[in-house]
Amino acid sequence: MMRDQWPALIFLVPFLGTFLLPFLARFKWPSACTAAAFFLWISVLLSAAVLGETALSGPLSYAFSGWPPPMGIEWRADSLSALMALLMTLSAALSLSVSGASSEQEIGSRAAPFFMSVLLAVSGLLGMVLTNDFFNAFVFLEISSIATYALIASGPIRSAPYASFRYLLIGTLGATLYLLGVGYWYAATGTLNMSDFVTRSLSAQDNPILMAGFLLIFLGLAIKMGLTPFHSWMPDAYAHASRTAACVIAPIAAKAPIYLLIRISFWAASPEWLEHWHFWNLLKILGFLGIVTGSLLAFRQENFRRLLAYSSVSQIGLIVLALGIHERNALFGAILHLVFHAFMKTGLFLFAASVESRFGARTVQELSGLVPRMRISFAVMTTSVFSLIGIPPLAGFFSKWYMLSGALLAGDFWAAAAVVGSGLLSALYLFKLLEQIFFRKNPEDPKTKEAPSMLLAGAILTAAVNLAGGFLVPLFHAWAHNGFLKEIFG
Amino acid sequence: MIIVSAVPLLAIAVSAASAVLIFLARRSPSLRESVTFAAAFLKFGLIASLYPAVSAGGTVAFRLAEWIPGAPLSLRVDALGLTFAVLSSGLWIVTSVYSLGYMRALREHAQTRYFASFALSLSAAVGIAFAGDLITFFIFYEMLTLSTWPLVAHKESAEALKAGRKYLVYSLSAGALLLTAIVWTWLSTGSTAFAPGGFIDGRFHGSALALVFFLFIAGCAVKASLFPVHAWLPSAMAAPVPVSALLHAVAVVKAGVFGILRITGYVFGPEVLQSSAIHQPLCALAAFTVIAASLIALVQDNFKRRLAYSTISQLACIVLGTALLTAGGFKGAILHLANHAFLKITLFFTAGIIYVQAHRENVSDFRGLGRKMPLPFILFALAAAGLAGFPPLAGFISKWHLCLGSADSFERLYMGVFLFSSLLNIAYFFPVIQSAFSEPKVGHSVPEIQDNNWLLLAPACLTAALGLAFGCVPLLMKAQSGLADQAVQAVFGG
Amino acid sequence: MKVLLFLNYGASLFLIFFGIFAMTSARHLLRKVIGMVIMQTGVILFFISLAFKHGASLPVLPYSAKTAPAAAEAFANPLPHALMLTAIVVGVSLLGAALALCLMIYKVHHSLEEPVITQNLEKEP
Repeated sequence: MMRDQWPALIFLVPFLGTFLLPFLARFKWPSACTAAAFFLWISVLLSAAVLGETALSGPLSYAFSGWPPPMGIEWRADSLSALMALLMTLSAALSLSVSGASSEQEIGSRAAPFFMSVLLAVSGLLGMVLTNDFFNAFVFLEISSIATYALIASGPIRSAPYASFRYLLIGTLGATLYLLGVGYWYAATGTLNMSDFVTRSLSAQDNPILMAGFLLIFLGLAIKMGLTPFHSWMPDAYAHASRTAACVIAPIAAKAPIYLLIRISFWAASPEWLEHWHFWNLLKILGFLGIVTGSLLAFRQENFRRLLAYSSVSQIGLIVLALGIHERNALFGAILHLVFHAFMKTGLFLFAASVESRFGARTVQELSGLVPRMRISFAVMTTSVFSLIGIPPLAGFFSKWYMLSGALLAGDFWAAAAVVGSGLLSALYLFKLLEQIFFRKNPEDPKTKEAPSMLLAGAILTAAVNLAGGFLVPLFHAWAHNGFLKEIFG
Repeated sequence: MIIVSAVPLLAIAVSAASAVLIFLARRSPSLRESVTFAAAFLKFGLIASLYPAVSAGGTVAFRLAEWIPGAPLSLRVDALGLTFAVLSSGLWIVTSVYSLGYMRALREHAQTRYFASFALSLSAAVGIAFAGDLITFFIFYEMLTLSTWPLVAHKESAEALKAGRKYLVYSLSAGALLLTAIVWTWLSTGSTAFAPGGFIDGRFHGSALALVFFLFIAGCAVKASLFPVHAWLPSAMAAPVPVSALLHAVAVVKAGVFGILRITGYVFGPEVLQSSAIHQPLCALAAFTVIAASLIALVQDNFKRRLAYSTISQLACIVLGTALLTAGGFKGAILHLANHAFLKITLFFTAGIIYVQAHRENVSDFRGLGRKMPLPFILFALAAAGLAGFPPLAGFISKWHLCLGSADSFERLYMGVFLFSSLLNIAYFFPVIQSAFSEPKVGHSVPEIQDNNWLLLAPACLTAALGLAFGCVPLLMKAQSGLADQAVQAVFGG
Repeated sequence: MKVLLFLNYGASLFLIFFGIFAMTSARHLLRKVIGMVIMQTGVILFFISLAFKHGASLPVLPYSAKTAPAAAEAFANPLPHALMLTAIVVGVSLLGAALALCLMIYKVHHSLEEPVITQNLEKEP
């Protein structure tokens, strides 16, 4: 039935679209960017449809080539994976749609290979979230990663290839550790299918191989998501990449490994040995370290995109901390933050792209001179910044509310303090940023004018999501409590 | 009797909308200023229109949205909220006139940002007044911090920026504590809506009760400038005078005190607090702040800083009145919230006049100034007397009720605190007046006095007149007292 | 026999650690790449070792399996082999990407020694 094939189509459309791009390059229209955005929008529609289906009638399962699981490769869209797929496609499609003109300036003749890499990267991420097979996740992890290495290297030739190389080394280490962990799990249970693994591992509780495998998988994912202390690749990568690449990749690249982390720790692994090995405490500690490291290092950054990258490190730390609280509301808050943060960061990176493309402004100092003529851009940026800090009634506040509720309900006061503390630490570097931009007198450049309209439109859309986030929360709440929260916590 | 009406929302929205219009009108100063005035009058009118319904004993409610399932956002206008809202919006009109004169006289920069932030701050202040539940309260509380920050840092000097940073650190940290308390309350009681007499209802016990009360009070204590988190207020005097006048004598600090009134009366309730005796440390802290701040005010040379410490002391009087948990103390607190506002704003206005016309900021430089520019100093003397509690000024009425309230309370000694604070008031204000009207020192240069700026003087006269009127005009006194009694009735009686 | 298997696993672990060591401590970028490949080879060896069974033959069903079912113990486990084919392909792609990046780096910095490159980058143009 066609309906069951939608999960696969979500991936296939951009993936196959990748190979159409070189042919389309022969024609003047559509440009590679528009074509790529077009394929992604189709995926958005499919993801929305799948999300609706899973909300109405439960998970969708697709077996490739008809080989039934657990023998064959199975793709499974349940409420959480459908949401992640929608988030990634929507975020990428939005960024690509508005980056057309600005990317021409930057990428020019290399448009076809560049957008092929973009589509591959996004397809890889989609594959990661939709698959129900551990090894398949590795494959897509690497597809996405290699494409991302290419994208990061697309920046200024002086610094970008080296930043990408360093990312390649660390990323490969992470992926290899993940693969090794999967190997351990395969050795212990004989299966690669996630659902099958759950049933088989129930009878092998104390097997140390399972625990060792889990640790390896966790390490691999931690490296890929930029969890402290493995975050060092992120600032360089996002700072030196081309601005179009940064807009598309930076908001969503870390989210797929986080999704896998949720899968393995809340679904696949046994709760007993996780408790026994204090895994949740480990998550909380690493998350907290991430928050502190990210915020303190962001405070010292002059380069705007590096500041955003460290901010991402800090937010990922917060999400992992919320996961570590291991409680219904906290998990809900973490998922909310995953969703809203993608939009916040998209808006901020689009803003960075617009000031860079028009004025070559890369540092905070340079930004402050641009304020008088680019007021709408700065207003939109400020909205995203406030949402990041968690000022009500913007979207970021609600994720903090639920994380805090989760922490208090779990009786974990240190985690609660860490959650509110993260808001304050974010305020530290973000208000410093705002102060430097709005209150320092910099000579006004008379040639400035408002940002390129497409980029501005994209940024306004993301700001709108942040402003209207409150309206989305009850929807999410109802959907989550009937969906994955029920599956996990009962 | 609950009336459903969108007027509270309109009242909040009108100044937020005007902020946008002010921004759009940035090229035309007169248009900008007209928008400010139009918004101020409209806002005051809307709020005043709520008076008949509320004074008849009803409340005006409006449900906003339910974003967090189980915690709906709502607006609720009761006697206490209306008092604060009328106060803020009425004084905004006056301050706008003053701002006009001040900004023009000093040819200040960034006036668009200034007026727009002012409008947003008033939106937030009225939002706090009309909040019907803790989350709405929190939303506007944070909005107040954010919208007043550009005003504190307005001058963009190193001192102003530092003051702004201090302000943010204190206020945002307090916000974090407040948020924790709100979430905890919601998780334990399932509700966040303010209810007269409290809604905690025995869900918290022992140390948990003390802790959550502490978190709530700590959250509001920063804005209310209680010791030891008062330090931001003297630093914030780096802001322009109209900012200090309206925000740091009326809107921001009164929002903090208002928060404490709400928490004491509408979240916890007097019975719960009495039975667990957790109000006693708060009383002690407030009393300490009253005395300590007054003593520090004695040695301040910078005039605005002296006023700042005086504000800290007076605010602590209000908090003490609230924390005594008696009907009289509560009433006195509500009355003093308003009366102190009129009188303090007059004092700040005179500080600005002295700065603009004579370019003097320090008390030691005021010697002989009064003879050259008597009117500002007469207004100053009037307002200072009012704060000290001299009849027939308004300050007498509120101090009277505060003392009565402390007589009924668990510790009569606090009456002495109120009386002593009046004494100290005289001690740090009287010498200023005396020095101003005395002979200038031989050999000292005669200061250049600019002409009387009526845009600055008229508002000061008006607020001083209000300070007098609320002390001896029966109509006004009855109205104010009526609202206060209603609030007391809601919290304590019935 | 068990000893030999331990040798396999030991070797794979050694290769993995050695590869990681090379990746982190080498100064020349190509040595890092070589370390990366060695590390991946270690993992591949690990998986292949998992597929081993005593006395097993190739995982191809004989003709006789059409009538009489064949015992799984007689054949080596083909799944890890298939997985590793994929992993090898991934490794080759990574190698290609890494070498391409090294080419780009060399074009700009005229050296593939890490200290030289970092020094170069620190001096802003």
